[in-house]
Amino acid sequence: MSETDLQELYQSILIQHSKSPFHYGKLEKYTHFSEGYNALCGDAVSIYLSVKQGTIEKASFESASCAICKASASILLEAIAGTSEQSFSKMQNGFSQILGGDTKDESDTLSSDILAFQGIQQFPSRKNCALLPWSTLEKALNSKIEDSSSD
Amino acid sequence: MFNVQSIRDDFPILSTLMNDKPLIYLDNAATSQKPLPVIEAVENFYKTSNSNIHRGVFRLSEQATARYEATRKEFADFISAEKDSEIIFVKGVTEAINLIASGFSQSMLKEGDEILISGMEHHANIVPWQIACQQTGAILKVIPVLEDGSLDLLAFEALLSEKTQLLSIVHISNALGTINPIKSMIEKAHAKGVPVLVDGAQSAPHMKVNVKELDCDFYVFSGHKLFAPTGVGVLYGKEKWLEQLPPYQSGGDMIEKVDFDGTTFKGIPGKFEAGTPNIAGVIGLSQAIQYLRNLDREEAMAHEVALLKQATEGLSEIDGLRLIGTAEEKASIVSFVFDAIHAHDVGTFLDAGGIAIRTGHHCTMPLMKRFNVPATARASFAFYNNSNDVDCFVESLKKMKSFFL
Repeated sequence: MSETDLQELYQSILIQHSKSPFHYGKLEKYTHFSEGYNALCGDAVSIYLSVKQGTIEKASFESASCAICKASASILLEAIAGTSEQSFSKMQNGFSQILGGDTKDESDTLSSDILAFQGIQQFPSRKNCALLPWSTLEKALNSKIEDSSSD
Repeated sequence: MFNVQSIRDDFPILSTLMNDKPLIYLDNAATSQKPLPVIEAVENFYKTSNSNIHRGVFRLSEQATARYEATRKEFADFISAEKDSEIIFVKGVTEAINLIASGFSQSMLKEGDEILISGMEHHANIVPWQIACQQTGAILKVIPVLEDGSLDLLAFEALLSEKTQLLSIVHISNALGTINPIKSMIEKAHAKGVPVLVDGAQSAPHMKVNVKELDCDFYVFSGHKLFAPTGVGVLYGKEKWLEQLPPYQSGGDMIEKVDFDGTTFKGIPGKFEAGTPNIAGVIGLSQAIQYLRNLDREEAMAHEVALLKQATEGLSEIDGLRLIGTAEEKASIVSFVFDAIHAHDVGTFLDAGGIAIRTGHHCTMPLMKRFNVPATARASFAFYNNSNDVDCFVESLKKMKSFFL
Protein backbone atom coordinates (compact mmCIF):
# COMPACT_ATOMS: atom_id res chain seq x y z
CA MET A 1 0.00 0.00 0.00
CA SER A 2 1.42 3.34 -1.02
CA GLU A 3 0.37 6.91 -1.64
CA THR A 4 -0.57 5.88 -5.18
CA ASP A 5 -2.96 3.35 -3.68
CA LEU A 6 -4.30 6.14 -1.50
CA GLN A 7 -5.03 8.23 -4.59
CA GLU A 8 -6.58 5.15 -6.12
CA LEU A 9 -8.86 4.66 -3.11
CA TYR A 10 -9.89 8.26 -2.68
CA GLN A 11 -10.50 9.07 -6.32
CA SER A 12 -11.91 12.52 -6.78
CA ILE A 13 -15.23 11.05 -7.83
CA LEU A 14 -15.54 9.34 -4.47
CA ILE A 15 -14.56 12.46 -2.56
CA GLN A 16 -17.15 14.43 -4.53
CA HIS A 17 -19.88 11.95 -3.61
CA SER A 18 -18.90 12.05 0.04
CA LYS A 19 -18.86 15.84 0.17
CA SER A 20 -22.20 16.31 -1.55
CA PRO A 21 -23.99 12.99 -1.54
CA PHE A 22 -27.18 12.32 -3.48
CA HIS A 23 -30.35 11.64 -1.52
CA TYR A 24 -28.99 12.77 1.82
CA GLY A 25 -31.55 13.42 4.56
CA LYS A 26 -34.72 11.88 5.87
CA LEU A 27 -37.75 11.25 3.62
CA GLU A 28 -40.90 12.97 4.81
CA LYS A 29 -42.89 9.84 4.13
CA TYR A 30 -41.41 6.41 3.90
CA THR A 31 -42.61 2.81 3.94
CA HIS A 32 -39.35 1.10 4.78
CA PHE A 33 -36.56 2.00 7.14
CA SER A 34 -33.49 0.45 8.69
CA GLU A 35 -30.36 1.41 10.61
CA GLY A 36 -27.04 -0.30 10.11
CA TYR A 37 -23.97 -0.24 12.34
CA ASN A 38 -20.38 -1.13 11.79
CA ALA A 39 -19.46 -2.74 15.10
CA LEU A 40 -15.79 -2.25 14.39
CA CYS A 41 -15.95 1.53 14.32
CA GLY A 42 -19.38 2.64 15.48
CA ASP A 43 -20.39 4.09 12.14
CA ALA A 44 -24.13 4.32 11.60
CA VAL A 45 -26.28 4.58 8.47
CA SER A 46 -30.06 5.08 8.28
CA ILE A 47 -31.90 4.25 5.06
CA TYR A 48 -35.41 5.46 4.22
CA LEU A 49 -37.40 4.02 1.31
CA SER A 50 -40.77 4.82 -0.15
CA VAL A 51 -41.91 1.69 -1.99
CA LYS A 52 -45.14 1.44 -3.99
CA GLN A 53 -46.17 -1.77 -5.71
CA GLY A 54 -42.68 -3.11 -5.89
CA THR A 55 -41.14 0.13 -7.13
CA ILE A 56 -38.71 2.06 -4.95
CA GLU A 57 -40.09 5.52 -5.66
CA LYS A 58 -37.86 7.41 -3.29
CA ALA A 59 -34.78 6.58 -1.29
CA SER A 60 -32.65 8.57 1.11
CA PHE A 61 -30.02 8.11 3.79
CA GLU A 62 -28.44 9.76 6.79
CA SER A 63 -25.10 8.71 8.21
CA ALA A 64 -22.35 9.39 10.67
CA SER A 65 -19.68 7.71 8.66
CA CYS A 66 -16.52 7.98 6.61
CA ALA A 67 -16.07 9.19 3.04
CA ILE A 68 -16.13 5.68 1.59
CA CYS A 69 -19.37 4.76 3.30
CA LYS A 70 -21.05 8.04 2.29
CA ALA A 71 -19.94 7.75 -1.32
CA SER A 72 -21.14 4.17 -1.46
CA ALA A 73 -24.57 5.17 -0.10
CA SER A 74 -24.80 8.09 -2.52
CA ILE A 75 -24.08 5.94 -5.59
CA LEU A 76 -26.34 3.13 -4.38
CA LEU A 77 -29.34 5.35 -3.70
CA GLU A 78 -28.90 7.24 -6.95
CA ALA A 79 -29.06 3.89 -8.77
CA ILE A 80 -31.90 2.37 -6.77
CA ALA A 81 -34.38 5.25 -6.83
CA GLY A 82 -37.04 4.56 -9.42
CA THR A 83 -36.18 0.90 -9.90
CA SER A 84 -37.87 -2.26 -8.69
CA GLU A 85 -37.08 -4.07 -5.47
CA GLN A 86 -35.74 -6.96 -7.53
CA SER A 87 -33.08 -4.84 -9.17
CA PHE A 88 -31.29 -4.53 -5.82
CA SER A 89 -29.84 -8.04 -5.87
CA LYS A 90 -28.54 -7.45 -9.38
CA MET A 91 -26.81 -4.30 -8.17
CA GLN A 92 -25.38 -6.17 -5.19
CA ASN A 93 -23.78 -8.67 -7.54
CA GLY A 94 -22.37 -5.87 -9.63
CA PHE A 95 -20.95 -4.12 -6.59
CA SER A 96 -19.31 -7.21 -5.12
CA GLN A 97 -17.61 -7.76 -8.49
CA ILE A 98 -16.22 -4.24 -8.39
CA LEU A 99 -15.04 -4.70 -4.79
CA GLY A 100 -13.34 -7.88 -5.90
CA GLY A 101 -11.42 -5.89 -8.50
CA ASP A 102 -13.45 -6.36 -11.68
CA THR A 103 -13.04 -3.52 -14.11
CA LYS A 104 -16.62 -3.64 -15.33
CA ASP A 105 -19.99 -3.67 -13.61
CA GLU A 106 -21.47 -6.69 -15.41
CA SER A 107 -24.92 -6.02 -13.96
CA ASP A 108 -24.91 -2.73 -15.84
CA THR A 109 -27.18 -1.23 -13.20
CA LEU A 110 -24.86 1.20 -11.46
CA SER A 111 -23.36 4.45 -12.66
CA SER A 112 -19.76 4.33 -13.83
CA ASP A 113 -18.83 6.19 -10.62
CA ILE A 114 -18.98 2.81 -8.93
CA LEU A 115 -15.72 1.85 -10.63
CA ALA A 116 -13.97 4.15 -8.18
CA PHE A 117 -14.43 1.40 -5.57
CA GLN A 118 -11.93 -0.88 -7.31
CA GLY A 119 -9.17 0.79 -5.31
CA ILE A 120 -10.54 -0.64 -2.07
CA GLN A 121 -8.89 -4.01 -2.76
CA GLN A 122 -5.68 -2.70 -1.22
CA PHE A 123 -7.55 -1.72 1.95
CA PRO A 124 -9.33 -4.84 3.25
CA SER A 125 -10.29 -3.17 6.54
CA ARG A 126 -12.27 -0.56 4.60
CA LYS A 127 -14.48 -2.96 2.63
CA ASN A 128 -17.04 -2.98 5.42
CA CYS A 129 -17.30 0.81 5.14
CA ALA A 130 -18.36 0.42 1.51
CA LEU A 131 -20.75 -2.43 2.26
CA LEU A 132 -22.60 -0.88 5.22
CA PRO A 133 -25.18 1.08 3.14
CA TRP A 134 -25.84 -2.05 1.08
CA SER A 135 -26.53 -4.34 4.03
CA THR A 136 -28.66 -1.61 5.59
CA LEU A 137 -30.72 -1.18 2.44
CA GLU A 138 -31.24 -4.92 2.29
CA LYS A 139 -32.54 -4.87 5.87
CA ALA A 140 -34.75 -1.89 5.04
CA LEU A 141 -36.35 -3.72 2.12
CA ASN A 142 -37.27 -6.53 4.53
CA SER A 143 -38.74 -4.21 7.11
CA LYS A 144 -41.95 -2.72 5.89
CA ILE A 145 -43.31 -0.37 8.51
CA GLU A 146 -47.05 -0.01 9.13
CA ASP A 147 -47.32 3.73 9.38
CA SER A 148 -45.87 5.24 6.24
CA SER A 149 -45.45 8.76 7.58
CA SER A 150 -42.64 9.75 9.84
CA ASP A 151 -43.21 11.79 12.94
CA MET B 1 19.41 11.15 30.95
CA PHE B 2 16.63 9.18 29.24
CA ASN B 3 18.14 7.72 26.06
CA VAL B 4 15.19 7.05 23.80
CA GLN B 5 17.38 5.83 20.92
CA SER B 6 18.92 3.04 22.96
CA ILE B 7 15.44 2.04 24.14
CA ARG B 8 14.15 2.00 20.55
CA ASP B 9 16.96 -0.40 19.67
CA ASP B 10 15.43 -2.90 22.12
CA PHE B 11 12.19 -3.03 20.10
CA PRO B 12 12.91 -4.74 16.76
CA ILE B 13 9.61 -3.75 15.15
CA LEU B 14 10.47 -0.05 15.44
CA SER B 15 13.13 -0.42 12.77
CA THR B 16 10.82 -2.05 10.21
CA LEU B 17 9.14 -0.42 7.22
CA MET B 18 5.40 -0.04 6.74
CA ASN B 19 4.11 0.93 3.33
CA ASP B 20 7.72 1.65 2.37
CA LYS B 21 8.08 4.16 5.22
CA PRO B 22 9.70 3.72 8.63
CA LEU B 23 6.96 2.47 10.95
CA ILE B 24 5.69 5.08 13.38
CA TYR B 25 3.68 3.17 15.91
CA LEU B 26 1.16 5.32 17.79
CA ASP B 27 -1.37 2.72 18.84
CA ASN B 28 0.16 1.83 22.16
CA ALA B 29 -3.13 2.10 24.02
CA ALA B 30 -4.39 -0.83 21.92
CA THR B 31 -1.28 -2.92 22.38
CA SER B 32 2.37 -2.20 23.07
CA GLN B 33 5.35 -3.49 21.14
CA LYS B 34 7.65 -6.07 22.71
CA PRO B 35 11.33 -5.65 23.58
CA LEU B 36 13.81 -8.27 22.38
CA PRO B 37 14.30 -9.91 25.83
CA VAL B 38 10.56 -10.67 25.98
CA ILE B 39 10.51 -12.12 22.45
CA GLU B 40 13.60 -14.20 23.18
CA ALA B 41 12.28 -15.45 26.51
CA VAL B 42 9.16 -16.84 24.84
CA GLU B 43 11.19 -18.35 22.02
CA ASN B 44 13.72 -19.90 24.39
CA PHE B 45 11.02 -21.31 26.60
CA TYR B 46 9.63 -23.28 23.67
CA LYS B 47 13.09 -24.23 22.45
CA THR B 48 14.54 -25.45 25.72
CA SER B 49 12.10 -25.43 28.62
CA ASN B 50 8.60 -26.27 27.38
CA SER B 51 6.59 -28.50 29.66
CA ASN B 52 3.33 -28.34 31.57
CA ILE B 53 3.31 -27.02 35.12
CA HIS B 54 2.00 -28.26 38.47
CA ARG B 55 1.94 -31.83 37.13
CA GLY B 56 5.19 -33.51 36.19
CA VAL B 57 7.67 -34.95 38.66
CA PHE B 58 10.36 -34.71 36.01
CA ARG B 59 12.94 -31.97 36.13
CA LEU B 60 11.70 -30.11 33.04
CA SER B 61 8.23 -29.68 34.49
CA GLU B 62 9.58 -28.72 37.89
CA GLN B 63 11.66 -26.01 36.27
CA ALA B 64 8.71 -24.66 34.28
CA THR B 65 6.59 -24.65 37.45
CA ALA B 66 9.30 -22.82 39.33
CA ARG B 67 9.57 -20.11 36.67
CA TYR B 68 5.81 -19.71 36.50
CA GLU B 69 5.50 -19.37 40.25
CA ALA B 70 8.55 -17.10 40.44
CA THR B 71 6.74 -14.72 38.09
CA ARG B 72 3.83 -14.59 40.52
CA LYS B 73 6.22 -13.37 43.19
CA GLU B 74 7.94 -10.94 40.81
CA PHE B 75 4.58 -9.46 39.84
CA ALA B 76 3.51 -9.19 43.48
CA ASP B 77 6.70 -7.22 44.14
CA PHE B 78 6.19 -5.17 40.98
CA ILE B 79 2.86 -3.81 42.25
CA SER B 80 3.70 -4.01 45.99
CA ALA B 81 1.09 -6.65 46.75
CA GLU B 82 1.34 -8.18 50.19
CA LYS B 83 1.11 -11.83 49.16
CA ASP B 84 2.02 -13.83 46.06
CA SER B 85 -1.30 -15.66 46.35
CA GLU B 86 -3.09 -12.39 45.63
CA ILE B 87 -1.78 -12.57 42.05
CA ILE B 88 -4.03 -14.56 39.67
CA PHE B 89 -2.86 -15.15 36.11
CA VAL B 90 -5.61 -14.55 33.58
CA LYS B 91 -5.88 -13.77 29.84
CA GLY B 92 -6.11 -10.06 30.43
CA VAL B 93 -8.32 -7.33 31.85
CA THR B 94 -11.43 -8.62 30.08
CA GLU B 95 -11.16 -12.03 31.68
CA ALA B 96 -10.25 -10.52 35.05
CA ILE B 97 -13.36 -8.33 35.14
CA ASN B 98 -15.55 -11.19 33.94
CA LEU B 99 -14.14 -13.33 36.74
CA ILE B 100 -15.03 -10.75 39.38
CA ALA B 101 -18.42 -9.90 37.88
CA SER B 102 -19.33 -13.56 37.65
CA GLY B 103 -18.24 -14.11 41.25
CA PHE B 104 -20.21 -11.13 42.52
CA SER B 105 -23.21 -12.24 40.51
CA GLN B 106 -23.11 -15.77 41.94
CA SER B 107 -22.35 -15.04 45.53
CA MET B 108 -23.03 -11.45 46.52
CA LEU B 109 -25.41 -9.43 44.40
CA LYS B 110 -29.12 -9.34 45.03
CA GLU B 111 -32.05 -7.38 43.72
CA GLY B 112 -31.79 -3.65 44.35
CA ASP B 113 -28.01 -3.70 44.93
CA GLU B 114 -25.97 -1.26 42.91
CA ILE B 115 -22.73 -1.49 40.93
CA LEU B 116 -21.07 1.85 40.24
CA ILE B 117 -18.99 2.42 37.11
CA SER B 118 -18.20 5.57 35.10
CA GLY B 119 -19.17 6.99 31.73
CA MET B 120 -15.64 6.52 30.39
CA GLU B 121 -15.37 2.76 30.90
CA HIS B 122 -14.17 0.36 28.23
CA HIS B 123 -16.84 -2.11 27.13
CA ALA B 124 -14.94 -4.71 29.17
CA ASN B 125 -15.93 -2.81 32.33
CA ILE B 126 -19.53 -2.27 31.25
CA VAL B 127 -20.89 -5.41 29.65
CA PRO B 128 -19.89 -7.94 32.38
CA TRP B 129 -21.71 -5.73 34.91
CA GLN B 130 -24.78 -5.41 32.70
CA ILE B 131 -24.93 -9.18 32.55
CA ALA B 132 -24.38 -9.50 36.33
CA CYS B 133 -27.22 -7.01 36.86
CA GLN B 134 -29.52 -8.92 34.51
CA GLN B 135 -28.81 -12.10 36.42
CA THR B 136 -29.38 -10.67 39.89
CA GLY B 137 -31.69 -7.69 39.58
CA ALA B 138 -28.88 -5.36 40.67
CA ILE B 139 -28.73 -1.89 39.11
CA LEU B 140 -25.85 -0.38 37.17
CA LYS B 141 -25.12 3.25 38.08
CA VAL B 142 -22.86 5.48 36.02
CA ILE B 143 -20.70 8.44 37.12
CA PRO B 144 -21.11 11.17 34.47
CA VAL B 145 -18.18 12.54 32.45
CA LEU B 146 -17.67 16.31 32.28
CA GLU B 147 -17.03 18.26 29.08
CA ASP B 148 -13.23 18.21 29.52
CA GLY B 149 -13.25 14.45 29.88
CA SER B 150 -12.83 14.31 33.65
CA LEU B 151 -15.25 12.61 36.03
CA ASP B 152 -18.02 14.50 37.79
CA LEU B 153 -16.69 13.85 41.27
CA LEU B 154 -19.60 15.52 43.05
CA ALA B 155 -21.97 13.20 41.24
CA PHE B 156 -19.68 10.32 42.20
CA GLU B 157 -20.05 11.06 45.89
CA ALA B 158 -23.79 11.40 45.55
CA LEU B 159 -24.01 8.07 43.72
CA LEU B 160 -22.16 6.14 46.45
CA SER B 161 -24.81 4.67 48.70
CA GLU B 162 -25.41 1.87 51.17
CA LYS B 163 -26.75 -0.09 48.20
CA THR B 164 -23.44 0.13 46.30
CA GLN B 165 -21.73 -3.26 46.33
CA LEU B 166 -18.71 -2.31 44.20
CA LEU B 167 -17.09 0.66 42.49
CA SER B 168 -15.44 -0.53 39.26
CA ILE B 169 -13.45 2.27 37.74
CA VAL B 170 -10.84 2.84 35.05
CA HIS B 171 -7.55 4.35 36.23
CA ILE B 172 -6.64 5.93 32.85
CA SER B 173 -9.22 6.29 30.08
CA ASN B 174 -8.10 4.51 26.90
CA ALA B 175 -10.18 6.84 24.73
CA LEU B 176 -9.41 10.21 26.36
CA GLY B 177 -6.22 9.75 28.35
CA THR B 178 -7.83 11.14 31.50
CA ILE B 179 -6.10 10.00 34.70
CA ASN B 180 -8.80 9.53 37.32
CA PRO B 181 -8.09 10.47 40.95
CA ILE B 182 -8.52 6.89 42.06
CA LYS B 183 -6.72 7.20 45.38
CA SER B 184 -9.23 9.70 46.71
CA MET B 185 -12.10 7.84 45.05
CA ILE B 186 -11.03 4.64 46.81
CA GLU B 187 -10.88 6.49 50.13
CA LYS B 188 -14.39 7.85 49.63
CA ALA B 189 -15.75 4.48 48.57
CA HIS B 190 -14.12 2.74 51.53
CA ALA B 191 -15.54 5.34 53.89
CA LYS B 192 -18.93 3.98 52.85
CA GLY B 193 -17.81 0.38 53.02
CA VAL B 194 -17.69 -0.04 49.22
CA PRO B 195 -14.91 -2.19 47.70
CA VAL B 196 -13.12 -0.92 44.59
CA LEU B 197 -11.96 -2.60 41.39
CA VAL B 198 -9.50 -0.61 39.29
CA ASP B 199 -9.09 -1.26 35.56
CA GLY B 200 -5.37 -0.68 35.14
CA ALA B 201 -5.03 -1.68 31.48
CA GLN B 202 -3.75 1.77 30.51
CA SER B 203 -2.10 2.89 33.74
CA ALA B 204 0.45 0.12 34.32
CA PRO B 205 2.39 0.90 31.08
CA HIS B 206 2.68 4.57 32.06
CA MET B 207 3.21 4.64 35.80
CA LYS B 208 4.34 2.63 38.77
CA VAL B 209 1.35 0.95 40.40
CA ASN B 210 1.36 0.39 44.14
CA VAL B 211 -1.75 -1.52 45.22
CA LYS B 212 -0.85 -1.30 48.88
CA GLU B 213 -0.69 2.47 48.80
CA LEU B 214 -3.88 2.71 46.75
CA ASP B 215 -5.57 0.22 49.07
CA CYS B 216 -7.74 -0.96 46.15
CA ASP B 217 -9.55 -4.27 46.55
CA PHE B 218 -8.89 -5.41 42.99
CA TYR B 219 -6.54 -4.11 40.30
CA VAL B 220 -6.46 -5.72 36.85
CA PHE B 221 -3.75 -5.75 34.16
CA SER B 222 -3.31 -6.82 30.54
CA GLY B 223 0.18 -8.09 29.78
CA HIS B 224 0.10 -7.18 26.11
CA LYS B 225 -0.25 -3.48 26.93
CA LEU B 226 2.65 -3.87 29.34
CA PHE B 227 5.24 -4.96 26.73
CA ALA B 228 4.49 -8.67 27.34
CA PRO B 229 2.84 -11.17 24.96
CA THR B 230 -0.89 -11.23 24.22
CA GLY B 231 -3.14 -13.60 26.13
CA VAL B 232 -1.67 -13.07 29.58
CA GLY B 233 -2.70 -10.68 32.32
CA VAL B 234 -3.04 -10.38 36.06
CA LEU B 235 -5.88 -10.03 38.49
CA TYR B 236 -4.73 -8.66 41.82
CA GLY B 237 -7.25 -9.08 44.61
CA LYS B 238 -7.02 -8.67 48.36
CA GLU B 239 -6.89 -12.08 49.96
CA LYS B 240 -10.16 -11.62 51.85
CA TRP B 241 -12.00 -10.98 48.58
CA LEU B 242 -10.38 -13.76 46.61
CA GLU B 243 -11.22 -16.19 49.41
CA GLN B 244 -14.88 -15.18 49.23
CA LEU B 245 -15.33 -15.34 45.46
CA PRO B 246 -16.35 -18.69 43.94
CA PRO B 247 -14.25 -20.25 41.13
CA TYR B 248 -14.77 -18.76 37.67
CA GLN B 249 -13.77 -21.62 35.39
CA SER B 250 -13.38 -25.14 36.66
CA GLY B 251 -11.59 -28.30 35.65
CA GLY B 252 -8.02 -29.46 35.92
CA ASP B 253 -5.49 -27.96 38.30
CA MET B 254 -7.98 -25.91 40.31
CA ILE B 255 -9.14 -28.83 42.44
CA GLU B 256 -8.00 -30.49 45.61
CA LYS B 257 -9.99 -33.72 45.26
CA VAL B 258 -12.59 -34.78 42.72
CA ASP B 259 -15.14 -37.44 43.52
CA PHE B 260 -18.56 -38.07 42.01
CA ASP B 261 -19.91 -37.34 45.47
CA GLY B 262 -18.38 -33.89 45.38
CA THR B 263 -15.27 -31.88 44.61
CA THR B 264 -13.15 -29.64 46.76
CA PHE B 265 -11.20 -26.73 45.31
CA LYS B 266 -7.68 -25.48 45.83
CA GLY B 267 -7.18 -22.33 47.83
CA ILE B 268 -6.08 -19.12 46.15
CA PRO B 269 -4.52 -18.57 43.67
CA GLY B 270 -5.01 -22.09 42.23
CA LYS B 271 -8.79 -21.91 42.63
CA PHE B 272 -8.93 -19.37 39.80
CA GLU B 273 -6.45 -20.98 37.40
CA ALA B 274 -8.25 -23.90 35.80
CA GLY B 275 -6.61 -25.77 32.94
CA THR B 276 -3.16 -25.32 31.46
CA PRO B 277 -2.39 -21.60 31.64
CA ASN B 278 -0.47 -19.43 29.17
CA ILE B 279 2.90 -20.54 30.54
CA ALA B 280 5.01 -18.97 27.79
CA GLY B 281 2.99 -15.77 28.19
CA VAL B 282 3.71 -15.67 31.93
CA ILE B 283 7.42 -16.15 31.22
CA GLY B 284 7.24 -13.31 28.70
CA LEU B 285 5.50 -11.20 31.34
CA SER B 286 8.32 -11.94 33.75
CA GLN B 287 10.82 -10.52 31.23
CA ALA B 288 8.61 -7.50 30.57
CA ILE B 289 8.50 -6.48 34.20
CA GLN B 290 12.22 -7.15 34.46
CA TYR B 291 12.65 -4.77 31.51
CA LEU B 292 10.53 -2.13 33.24
CA ARG B 293 12.47 -2.55 36.48
CA ASN B 294 15.67 -1.72 34.62
CA LEU B 295 14.10 1.42 33.26
CA ASP B 296 13.95 4.69 35.16
CA ARG B 297 10.15 4.90 35.26
CA GLU B 298 10.15 8.50 36.43
CA GLU B 299 12.23 9.55 33.44
CA ALA B 300 10.18 7.42 31.08
CA MET B 301 7.03 9.11 32.32
CA ALA B 302 8.56 12.58 32.00
CA HIS B 303 9.50 11.69 28.42
CA GLU B 304 5.90 10.64 27.68
CA VAL B 305 4.58 13.84 29.24
CA ALA B 306 6.89 15.82 26.91
CA LEU B 307 5.56 13.89 23.90
CA LEU B 308 1.99 14.59 25.01
CA LYS B 309 2.75 18.30 25.32
CA GLN B 310 4.40 18.39 21.88
CA ALA B 311 1.48 16.54 20.29
CA THR B 312 -1.17 18.67 22.00
CA GLU B 313 0.56 21.87 20.88
CA GLY B 314 1.00 20.54 17.34
CA LEU B 315 -2.63 19.53 17.04
CA SER B 316 -3.88 22.83 18.43
CA GLU B 317 -2.35 24.55 15.39
CA ILE B 318 -4.53 22.61 12.97
CA ASP B 319 -7.77 24.38 12.05
CA GLY B 320 -10.87 22.22 12.07
CA LEU B 321 -9.37 19.75 14.53
CA ARG B 322 -11.01 19.34 17.92
CA LEU B 323 -9.44 17.49 20.84
CA ILE B 324 -11.76 15.18 22.76
CA GLY B 325 -10.47 14.93 26.30
CA THR B 326 -8.65 17.92 27.70
CA ALA B 327 -8.60 17.08 31.40
CA GLU B 328 -5.79 18.53 33.46
CA GLU B 329 -4.48 15.10 34.45
CA LYS B 330 -3.78 13.16 31.28
CA ALA B 331 -1.61 10.27 30.13
CA SER B 332 0.08 10.37 26.72
CA ILE B 333 -3.06 9.84 24.63
CA VAL B 334 -4.58 12.37 22.21
CA SER B 335 -8.06 11.77 20.84
CA PHE B 336 -9.43 14.10 18.20
CA VAL B 337 -11.97 14.68 15.45
CA PHE B 338 -12.11 16.84 12.34
CA ASP B 339 -15.28 18.75 11.46
CA ALA B 340 -15.23 17.56 7.88
CA ILE B 341 -13.08 14.42 7.78
CA HIS B 342 -14.13 11.15 9.34
CA ALA B 343 -11.69 9.40 11.69
CA HIS B 344 -11.47 6.35 9.40
CA ASP B 345 -10.30 8.44 6.51
CA VAL B 346 -7.73 10.07 8.82
CA GLY B 347 -6.46 6.63 9.83
CA THR B 348 -6.16 5.35 6.26
CA PHE B 349 -4.33 8.49 5.13
CA LEU B 350 -1.79 8.31 7.97
CA ASP B 351 -1.26 4.59 7.37
CA ALA B 352 -0.08 5.28 3.84
CA GLY B 353 2.76 7.24 5.46
CA GLY B 354 3.61 4.35 7.81
CA ILE B 355 1.89 5.97 10.80
CA ALA B 356 -0.32 3.62 12.82
CA ILE B 357 -3.06 5.27 14.86
CA ARG B 358 -6.38 3.95 16.12
CA THR B 359 -9.68 5.17 14.72
CA GLY B 360 -13.16 4.24 15.83
CA HIS B 361 -15.04 4.10 19.11
CA HIS B 362 -12.16 2.52 21.09
CA CYS B 363 -14.60 0.07 22.70
CA THR B 364 -16.16 3.03 24.52
CA MET B 365 -19.40 3.56 22.59
CA PRO B 366 -21.28 5.25 25.49
CA LEU B 367 -18.40 7.73 25.81
CA MET B 368 -18.56 8.53 22.06
CA LYS B 369 -22.29 9.15 22.49
CA ARG B 370 -21.54 11.44 25.46
CA PHE B 371 -19.34 13.58 23.19
CA ASN B 372 -21.75 13.25 20.29
CA VAL B 373 -19.18 11.79 17.89
CA PRO B 374 -19.37 8.45 16.07
CA ALA B 375 -15.65 7.89 16.34
CA THR B 376 -12.37 9.64 17.07
CA ALA B 377 -8.82 9.32 15.81
CA ARG B 378 -6.41 8.51 18.62
CA ALA B 379 -2.64 8.58 18.91
CA SER B 380 -1.16 7.02 22.04
CA PHE B 381 2.51 7.29 22.90
CA ALA B 382 4.85 4.91 24.72
CA PHE B 383 8.27 5.70 26.18
CA TYR B 384 9.90 4.36 22.98
CA ASN B 385 8.24 6.99 20.80
CA ASN B 386 10.32 10.05 20.07
CA SER B 387 9.76 13.63 19.09
CA ASN B 388 10.32 12.80 15.42
CA ASP B 389 7.30 10.46 15.63
CA VAL B 390 5.17 13.34 16.90
CA ASP B 391 6.48 15.71 14.21
CA CYS B 392 5.71 13.24 11.41
CA PHE B 393 2.25 12.62 12.86
CA VAL B 394 1.36 16.33 13.02
CA GLU B 395 2.85 17.05 9.58
CA SER B 396 0.93 14.17 8.04
CA LEU B 397 -2.33 15.50 9.46
CA LYS B 398 -1.62 18.87 7.85
CA LYS B 399 -0.96 17.19 4.50
CA MET B 400 -4.14 15.18 4.92
CA LYS B 401 -6.26 18.30 5.19
CA SER B 402 -5.25 19.45 1.75
CA PHE B 403 -5.86 15.95 0.38
CA PHE B 404 -9.46 15.73 1.57
CA LEU B 405 -10.57 19.37 1.66
